[in-house]
Amino acid sequence: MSTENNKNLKYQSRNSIRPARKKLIEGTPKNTIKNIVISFVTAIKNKHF
Amino acid sequence: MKALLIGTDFLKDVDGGFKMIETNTNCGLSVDPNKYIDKTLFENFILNGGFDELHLIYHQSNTHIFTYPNELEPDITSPDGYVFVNTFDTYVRDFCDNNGVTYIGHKVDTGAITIPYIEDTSNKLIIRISYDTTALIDDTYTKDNWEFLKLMHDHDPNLIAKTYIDDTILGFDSIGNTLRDNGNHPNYCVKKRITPSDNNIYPKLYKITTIGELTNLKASLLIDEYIQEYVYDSTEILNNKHKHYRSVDMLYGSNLDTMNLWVTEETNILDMVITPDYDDNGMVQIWDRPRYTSKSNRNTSDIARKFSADAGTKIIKTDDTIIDVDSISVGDQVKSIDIPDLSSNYAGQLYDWTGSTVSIKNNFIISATTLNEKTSYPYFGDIIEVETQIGIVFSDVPHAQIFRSEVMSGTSVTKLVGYELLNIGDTILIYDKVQNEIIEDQIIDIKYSMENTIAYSLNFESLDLFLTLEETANSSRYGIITHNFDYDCQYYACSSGYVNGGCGAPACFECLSGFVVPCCSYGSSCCRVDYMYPGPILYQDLSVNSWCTWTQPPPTYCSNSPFRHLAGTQCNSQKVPPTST
Repeated sequence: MSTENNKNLKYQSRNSIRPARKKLIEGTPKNTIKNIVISFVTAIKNKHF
Repeated sequence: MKALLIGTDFLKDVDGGFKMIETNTNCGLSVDPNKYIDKTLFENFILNGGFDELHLIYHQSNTHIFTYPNELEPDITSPDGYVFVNTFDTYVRDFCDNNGVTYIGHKVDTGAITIPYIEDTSNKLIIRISYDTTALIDDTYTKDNWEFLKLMHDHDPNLIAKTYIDDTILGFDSIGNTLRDNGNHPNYCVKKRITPSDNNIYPKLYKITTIGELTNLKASLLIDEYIQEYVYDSTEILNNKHKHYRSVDMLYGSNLDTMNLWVTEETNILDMVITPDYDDNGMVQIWDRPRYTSKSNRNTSDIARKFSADAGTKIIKTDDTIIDVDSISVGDQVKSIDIPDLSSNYAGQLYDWTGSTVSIKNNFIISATTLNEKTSYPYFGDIIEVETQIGIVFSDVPHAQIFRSEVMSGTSVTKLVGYELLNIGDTILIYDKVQNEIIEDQIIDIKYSMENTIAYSLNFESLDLFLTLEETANSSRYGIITHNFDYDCQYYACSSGYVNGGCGAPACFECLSGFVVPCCSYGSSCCRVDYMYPGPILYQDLSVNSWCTWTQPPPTYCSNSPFRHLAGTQCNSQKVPPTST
């Protein structure tokens, strides 16, 4: 069954309807992400080169 | 040496693992590199690489700093919209200039899918940001999500979200028969094979509660759609919004080595709620989609579509009757106001115009204006509602332009401002039809929402101003003076710096297409006729008997270079094109 509880929600702050952005500092999450990008490139090299 | 910048998106799952969602070339870097880039790594790479030339291949949109996000990085307080200083190209150019490396920028045209040929030699670093359809990564893995997902699935399936693709060559099913449980939130999404897709539709977000529903969803897929689990971890929140990660990396050299330049945490558009709304098919309703996606065609940053009104806006006609913007027709006359110092031939930037508040209030003339053009667009985006001290409520699309007064050097001046830039405490000008006067009224409350509606671009002539009514019932006493913004085209400056070895040159803005034509290099064709408005800041270089537009007066840049002759162009009947002597 469809609902419309949030259809007319209004916000007091402009930032409530804008995305936020922040730099990811050095640490485990960043290293993990870097390694996954390397893994992607490795996959390409393995397949094509 | 060749290098390529890619932007890759990740989500963190409940088990702590990161899932690669997609990777992009021709990406918008969007940030001030001075604040984000790993300078030591990047700059040492250039200095120690034996390069005496650095070529940067890019489209202007790649380097725009997009400041609509709520920037949480300290010391970044840019205004709303696009910023054209401290961009990636200027950062690279300045670094090269300061370190004896020759910088050469190659700016490609809008829509370009190939790049200029540059001979690859050991003394050159050629960094590409823009799209190249002849390149493997672009044409296979960033454009085709199935190729990307199949590659990663075969390499390590744990690095991507569980996926169902129905294809004899690239297909696989890692979703199986175990349903993901995201509680009240959607657990599966339908996406398109080829990027880009319509951000107002994809991804389609579903809450699937039985294997039967999943089976039905699979059967309903279009030939180029696929399903993924929706990776959702309720702890992955930033500023009360669900977040993801964007990694910008440089792939370089014949060995495709990798250098990470920066990683950002970025959120979806709207705050999270406990439970979103679903339709009868279990799909997230359009007004809740922005809680789960970071992209939408919001039609607010679309430069060409500076809407003047949303559906239901009431406009005052010359006989004081009220007409909905939905019903108004070309040729209809509406009430207008002739403002001192804002003539219909004003050719400057609206944001630069100022008038005396006292003069406006004392010397305005009630007049009439005729609707010349009316265009409607489906709109899903911001609507801004403003309440004033005396209890009047107005609402409109973000770029609807109204008059705001402020005190400058002890004098009250009036400027035009878009709804999106209004603040509580601002004083706006309102027309009181009963008293036949313009009054100042203070904003006491502003509310923001995202709505699915119809929006309009309106062009009135000869006066650009029309009166939109307060939202309350059928009262027609107070009208807010609104400017038909879209038909006063905006001028965008080039990012400063060199283009093709020459100096920075003016940008041209195509009013109806919304494209910013890349800055013309010296001697090249740039400011074409039809819908091109070169901008209001004109300087005459008597030495070459020509005009040009600049963001700042010479001789800051290229004082010895002849300026490009401007063809006579105009966006609409209001504009008087400059003529060269």
